[in-house]
Amino acid sequence: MNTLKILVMLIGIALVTNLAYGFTQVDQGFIIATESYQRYSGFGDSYADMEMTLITKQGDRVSRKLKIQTLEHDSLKSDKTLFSFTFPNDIRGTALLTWSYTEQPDKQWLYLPKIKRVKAISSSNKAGSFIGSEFSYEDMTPQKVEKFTYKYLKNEACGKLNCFVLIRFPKSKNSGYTKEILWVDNEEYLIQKIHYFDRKATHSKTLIISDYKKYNDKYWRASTMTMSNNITGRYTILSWNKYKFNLGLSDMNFTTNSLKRSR
Amino acid sequence: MKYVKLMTLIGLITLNIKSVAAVEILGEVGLENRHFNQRTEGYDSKESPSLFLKVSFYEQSNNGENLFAFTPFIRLDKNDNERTHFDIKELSWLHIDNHWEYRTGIRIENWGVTEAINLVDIINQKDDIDQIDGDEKLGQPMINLSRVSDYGIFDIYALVGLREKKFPSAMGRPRLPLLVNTDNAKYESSAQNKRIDFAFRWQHLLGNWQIALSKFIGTAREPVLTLATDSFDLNNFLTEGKLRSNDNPTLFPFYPVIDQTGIEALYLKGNWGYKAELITQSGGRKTFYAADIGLEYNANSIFTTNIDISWILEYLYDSREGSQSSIYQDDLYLASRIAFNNQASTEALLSVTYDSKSKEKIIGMESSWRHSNNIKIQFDGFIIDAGKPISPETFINAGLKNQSLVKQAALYARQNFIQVTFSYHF
Repeated sequence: MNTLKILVMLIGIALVTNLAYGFTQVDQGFIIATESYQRYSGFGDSYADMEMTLITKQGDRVSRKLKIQTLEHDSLKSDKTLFSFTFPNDIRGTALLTWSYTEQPDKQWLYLPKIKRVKAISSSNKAGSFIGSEFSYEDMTPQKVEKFTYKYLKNEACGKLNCFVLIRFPKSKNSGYTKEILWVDNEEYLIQKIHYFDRKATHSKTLIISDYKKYNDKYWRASTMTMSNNITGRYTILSWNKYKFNLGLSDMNFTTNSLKRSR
Repeated sequence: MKYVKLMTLIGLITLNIKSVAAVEILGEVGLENRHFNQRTEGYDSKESPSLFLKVSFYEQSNNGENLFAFTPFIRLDKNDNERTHFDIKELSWLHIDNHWEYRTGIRIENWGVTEAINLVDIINQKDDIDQIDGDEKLGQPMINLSRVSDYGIFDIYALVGLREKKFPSAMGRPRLPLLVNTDNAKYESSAQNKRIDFAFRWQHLLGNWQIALSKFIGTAREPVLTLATDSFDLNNFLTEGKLRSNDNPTLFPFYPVIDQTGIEALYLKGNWGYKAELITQSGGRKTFYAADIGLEYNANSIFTTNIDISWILEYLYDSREGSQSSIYQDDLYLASRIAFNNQASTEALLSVTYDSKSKEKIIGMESSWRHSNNIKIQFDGFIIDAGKPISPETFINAGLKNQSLVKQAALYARQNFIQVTFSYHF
């Protein structure tokens, strides 16, 4: 009887330590990511203007401008985003609607005003370039916590701040990345920097997120995001402004009908 | 001359409104040249330049609850006075009330999911004389109610009158071996071209499936082209087997009242897309079926570049026989769409439509890139690999005997062209 008790106890201890071990190795990263996402989210809906500047290795630059509307939902329903292009003029009125899910592939529709056509497009193109930029489609959709698994690495200084360094692994098979290393500051839990590793596990892209501003006394949003491609030498700068929150947007602002008039 | 004045007028109005009002204006002015590879009878030049202007005026009120749009379009063609045309693409008022949208006025609607053709797409008349790719349409006066619900999007339409199809003049290309006399158009409806037509469409999302059902009851947009036997000396033709030099045979468009049911289905999974459009149409001369069924494969970021390539393969079927048979009776369509994802937003679409019976091929090419923020360049091509052109006599004979021409594409043989367009967007 005693041996059995001891055996049960030993198994129990083994299980607990094993769980605790797993907890420290996996879940601290998860906890940091969750905290970061929770602070970012909860805004309901938002609007922003964005200018995207595409810069070649030689320094040639062109720009695209768009308006971005976002509608947040709990994890059971999809988050919805609507990108409406306003510049250059020939693509003004072109719009991309995304219904982004955690457990199933996203749904996307593109509206082409020249031919007045809504086209359902495959969302498997996560890794593809978003309108010629160094950002891919997956970089432009909400980075929900459930889309990744996490691993905490260490703490280290990042500029003037102190950062948690963690790795996240995309769950989607269509992702263009094998892993991403994130630097998240330990005060506001804002992502400061991301190193992206492509399918060949090469550190292919670096994203620097800067000029964070606080809106409505609670929502921190970056004004500048710079994505550099370490392989081609090209880079893309996103400049965000005119952030607005709680505009009263609903699902009705994110249908294929509203896509057609989202100019 | 009146079109030149009209174009100038639209231009002046645009400039004036742009400087004063808060109305949003978006416009495009362009110069296009078609270069034909051969001279054919009656053409001195291989070049066919034209000029176009399209301006959209937008205004909204009540925080976007009401939207007004006005889009006039005008083209001046050097050779073809029929292609020189003015159209109001849009003059509409859209009212949004939560789940409902009320759309009134002249508008353009676009139905369909396939690439080669859109069989189900029937609201507007196609402006084929402007561009042969089927993307250009004439504005259709209508009242359209649209309802978004958990069970999909429902649209009902009352379509006021028929926009008649435009056909090239003797100086226009590409065109049929005989001219179409649109002044001589005939209609099945006693209301002629003023019949009020009805349409309905339901579209829904079911998992990875996107489906739509549609119905159209009204005057066909695509006319039946019929030989005008009084336009030439028929008796002489029947006895001699050829036309006299002073004969000027023409076709006339006949617009039957039809009843069309359409199905669209699209299934997207991973890199693959499966697409189908099916229609059945009754009325007119005979009930017929037509289908466009195919698949698409998307290869993204190929060879670690930014380039995305899509491959499209579709099968086209049309049950019509005799002189009304479709050019897409039993055809394969293979296409590749390339997006370079570069600074100039370079895009290209190459396609081949192959008829297994006649072995004819239609090769299409569309490409475009942005030269600067305001200037866009397009380079398109249209090549028919169909051997000899069909003579007016052969065409008339087939029409008289209600026989189908095996070589349908040959109707447009030796009218190959490449087209360059410079457009300025403001």
